[in-house]
Amino acid sequence: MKEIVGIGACVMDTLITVPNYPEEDTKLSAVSFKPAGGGPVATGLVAAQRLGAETAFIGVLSNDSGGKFLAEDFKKYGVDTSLVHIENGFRSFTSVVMLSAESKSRTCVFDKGNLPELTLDSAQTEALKAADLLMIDGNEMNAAAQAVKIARENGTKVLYDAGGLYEGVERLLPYADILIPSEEFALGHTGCADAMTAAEKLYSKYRPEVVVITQGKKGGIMLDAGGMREYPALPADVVDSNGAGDVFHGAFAAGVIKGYDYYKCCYFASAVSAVKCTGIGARESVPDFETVRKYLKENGYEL
Amino acid sequence: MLVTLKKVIDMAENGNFCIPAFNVYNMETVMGVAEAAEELRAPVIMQVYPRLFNEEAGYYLAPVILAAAKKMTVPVCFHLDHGPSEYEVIKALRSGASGIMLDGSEHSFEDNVALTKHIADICGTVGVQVEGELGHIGSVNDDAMDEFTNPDDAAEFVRRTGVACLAVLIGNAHGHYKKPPKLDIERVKAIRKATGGIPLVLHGGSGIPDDQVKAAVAAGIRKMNIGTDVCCAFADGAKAELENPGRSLAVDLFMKPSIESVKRLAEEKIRLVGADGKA
Repeated sequence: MKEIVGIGACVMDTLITVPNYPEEDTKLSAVSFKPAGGGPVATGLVAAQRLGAETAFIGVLSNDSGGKFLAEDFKKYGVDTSLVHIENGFRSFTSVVMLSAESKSRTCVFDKGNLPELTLDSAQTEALKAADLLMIDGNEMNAAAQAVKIARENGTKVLYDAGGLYEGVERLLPYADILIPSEEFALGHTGCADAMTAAEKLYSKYRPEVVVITQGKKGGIMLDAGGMREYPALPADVVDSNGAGDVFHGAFAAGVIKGYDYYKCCYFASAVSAVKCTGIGARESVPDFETVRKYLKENGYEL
Repeated sequence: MLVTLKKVIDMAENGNFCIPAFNVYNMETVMGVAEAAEELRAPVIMQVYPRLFNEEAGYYLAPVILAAAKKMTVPVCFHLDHGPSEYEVIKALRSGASGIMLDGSEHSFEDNVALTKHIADICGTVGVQVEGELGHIGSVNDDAMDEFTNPDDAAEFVRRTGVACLAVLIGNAHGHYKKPPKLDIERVKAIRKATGGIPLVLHGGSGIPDDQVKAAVAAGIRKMNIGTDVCCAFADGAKAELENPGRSLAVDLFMKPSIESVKRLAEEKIRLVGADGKA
């Protein structure tokens, strides 16, 4: 049994750091060129696993080079891939991310590939029933909808990383127990002018246990039965913020598994995300639990 | 056992009978209905007004219904009655409801279709089906009621919303009838025919003469709501106990006659709609 299972996008990123954003019709030597696994839930699972939770990804991967890389990457970090369907002859979801050293801009070009839609099989269904927590991100919408039904019937909590205003999110939002939208999603979905009003609206409408609105460098806010609280963005010498949000969600899930209350989950996840940003790579810079505990203590927080 | 709205409605459709849907308000009304359903082996619906979800009462009542359903060996659906909007529907789903009524009948036809379809989509995600309403079923005290449900409108409504069953206005009303209503049984048949056999719901089931209820069930009513009679039965039990010189001050003992009274009412209605022995 895995404590956390996840359904969402799984993307093969190629991260190219360039000295400056190139002119059209020119050639430019890259500073670095690096393949990396990405996708909100996929990277979140890696973070949760790194922090001590038992995790599994539920999805479809191709057996092309991208798919093979993604499966190996999960294995490298200990995320269980036994619930992944490997499909022959399809194109993986890939992206090329150009990071400008000069302007710090991040330019992404992606190809969603042509992988078939995920349909849950019996092993995946059983894993969902047994799990403590399901992570979804609005991708693989139909399978996610199937999964929240199973979760609701079996007492599996649902953590929804709401980053994209995808069509059909209304089908999932009423079933998120832990709703963590980006500020952009929260304002865009509710039409509110500020995050606190948006949090109140989301909490009142969808009745989750907690709403957490992430605000990047500003930290964020959370609202549960105990009221509204802000949580901090903890200090860090940022080298690479790519994937910081995905890691936050995974760390939050790991905090839930550890039995933390939601405020503690917020500052724990904020700390994990801050430490991750001090190294390069969304996944390889995720700290282990002991590192986070020490970092939090240095900053005046106890776990 | 807790089951979905579709499950009990399908049982009624296949068995050519009607599911009694009792409004429950507290633990004692739940107990009375549960005991009657168990003893008569009847599938039933326990339904809750949306105001109970808007007040603290729903927070306490929902676990009572779910506990009863878990203990019961006959199928029971936990249903939201007259949900006016997404807000109450989500609260009910969060509380474990396995059936939802969306009452958009006070809106225009198009707005009713749009809202009901939206709710049916949301509920469909977790396999919960929706009862819609076409033709506003008002209170017996209303001066003006809507026109009776039009069969052609009903057909279009059902096709566009995907509801599992439809509440119709055929001469019924909520509350105590001042004089016996006259149900338009031919209209029930016409709506069934126009919609391709959608299971129909009769609101305001308290006080409709038995022969008319039986005729309505024979014509295709598959769910009948009983609210006012539950309240009266509960009050009758309490009143009798108040007048009992040897009554106990202990509230649990004081409530026993009310539970028994609700149970007797539920048994009577279960038999009336032919649900006894159908679990």
